[in-house]
Amino acid sequence: MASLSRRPPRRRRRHDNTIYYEHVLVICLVYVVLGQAWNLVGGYAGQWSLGHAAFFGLGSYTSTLLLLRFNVSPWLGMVAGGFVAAAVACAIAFPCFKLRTHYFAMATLAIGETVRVLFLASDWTGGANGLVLPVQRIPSTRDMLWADKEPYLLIILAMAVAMTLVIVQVERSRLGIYLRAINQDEEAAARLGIDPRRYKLAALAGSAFVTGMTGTFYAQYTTYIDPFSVMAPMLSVRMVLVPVFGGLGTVAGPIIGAFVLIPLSETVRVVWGGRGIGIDQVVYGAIIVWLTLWMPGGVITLWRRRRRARLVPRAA
Amino acid sequence: MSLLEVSGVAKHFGGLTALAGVDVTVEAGEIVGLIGPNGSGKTTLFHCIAGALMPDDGDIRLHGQSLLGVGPHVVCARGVGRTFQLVRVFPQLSALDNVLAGQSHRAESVMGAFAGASTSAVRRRALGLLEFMGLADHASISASELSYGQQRLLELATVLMGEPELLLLDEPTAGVNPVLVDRLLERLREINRGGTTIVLIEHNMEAVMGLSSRMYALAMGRIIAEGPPEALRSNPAVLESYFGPPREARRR
Repeated sequence: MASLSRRPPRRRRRHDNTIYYEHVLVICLVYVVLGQAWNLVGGYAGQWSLGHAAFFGLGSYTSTLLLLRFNVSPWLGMVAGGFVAAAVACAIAFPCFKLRTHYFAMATLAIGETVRVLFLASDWTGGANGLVLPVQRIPSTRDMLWADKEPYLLIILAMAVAMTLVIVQVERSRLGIYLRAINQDEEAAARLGIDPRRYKLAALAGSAFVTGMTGTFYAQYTTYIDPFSVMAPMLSVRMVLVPVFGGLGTVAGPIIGAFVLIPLSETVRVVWGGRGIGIDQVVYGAIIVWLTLWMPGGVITLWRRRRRARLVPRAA
Repeated sequence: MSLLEVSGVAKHFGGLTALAGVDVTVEAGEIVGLIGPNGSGKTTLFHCIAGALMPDDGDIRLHGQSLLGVGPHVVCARGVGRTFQLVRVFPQLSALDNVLAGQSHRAESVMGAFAGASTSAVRRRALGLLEFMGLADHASISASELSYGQQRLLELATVLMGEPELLLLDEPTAGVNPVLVDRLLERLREINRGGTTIVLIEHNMEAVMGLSSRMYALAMGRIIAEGPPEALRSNPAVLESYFGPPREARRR
């Protein structure tokens, strides 16, 4: 009995893979938020931004610089990051909203790259070396830094649920009808009294705000940022890919897109990534092409097809 | 004071003169027809009134207040509704959502639009308009699945949802089958009886002459005749604009 009482307290044993699965879940939820945010401006308002990585990066840098230089808590920094991203979105909206479709996408792509290069060239933002968050303070709720992934998981889950509820409200409100009207025919919407610039600006600013906040979260989660990781053009492409793949302009689209594409990307990375010749990326690309050809309107069309098939049974 | 006063409006596209000093006056409660051969400037005049184009010269006043330099959404908010020459509905929205998109936006903020769904009173009004146009059974169907004629009626219902004081209709019967044309014309008379002033461009002479109390004829960007439909029917300038100069004049 004595020997038993001297045994160290039993610790909850965790399977090694749990941490990895939690990480994948966090990244999935990050893309749910980013996908919903992009969907607001791209899917509903029809403005295909290819520069959203700039808003993400601005959010990460704003909160990180506020924490490192002025010791401002990232909880506040997150809101500040959202506002900075929204302000930049408003500034670029004025010249860019004169452009339509592909030209708007090209302009936003160029702006995203310009912001990335500016951050790369600036010493104040750490240049190419990036910025390391004060990891020595871990754990610190005030500094949004923890050793475990659970707190991060809870935060991003709350953000994903909140953003999804916002999009549900957009769907059922008058705003949803106006944005979709603008998306389908801007001139026809304007002659009904809908001011396209005002609504597009609101959608872009709101989208940038949430993207900026998610950037802060990501910086706190990874504890290191540089322009290559938080402002990469590929990040913008992924933000587009998630809702487009799941179902553009739908609430479920970004959720489906994130929970299919991120695990798929991780799976091909685990299976083929170790060969060092980029075959995982080739396989990932090929699967996306195949799935897109199979479901051109996004994965959500599978549900619609099945529902239609149920409603209209095939002739015997 | 007239409801709409268009005075000396000119519009050029490079070397092409689309409008060369057009004067049009519309009194409240009228149905005014605007006729003229293709390319005479009728649609350009509508674009200028509705704020889609800025005239190079002249003035456009609604209740004495200038409409120059304001966007189409502001012109709509001041009480001008318009339909297009080619139907423009929102194809992926249901017929009901199309009509709801036309509800009045006067002084509505983005947050206000985000916070609330259309009220039941507004939805009832939208359904009422669909019923008025004979589209009640198609409320939940995508606009793209309606026939061209039904889309015309839907577009009109959408514009009426904003309760315009002045309605600009660009060829409302074009491409519509004769059964629907009769329904459309009847509806336009009812709308006018309800107090809405109508200006319509139309190539269907029987329709426009039957509806209008007064007409303007345009040719080469100028008003060539004005008066009651009977007077324009036999006006030599109007006949010449459509059919060319009389045979005797051509022989000379």
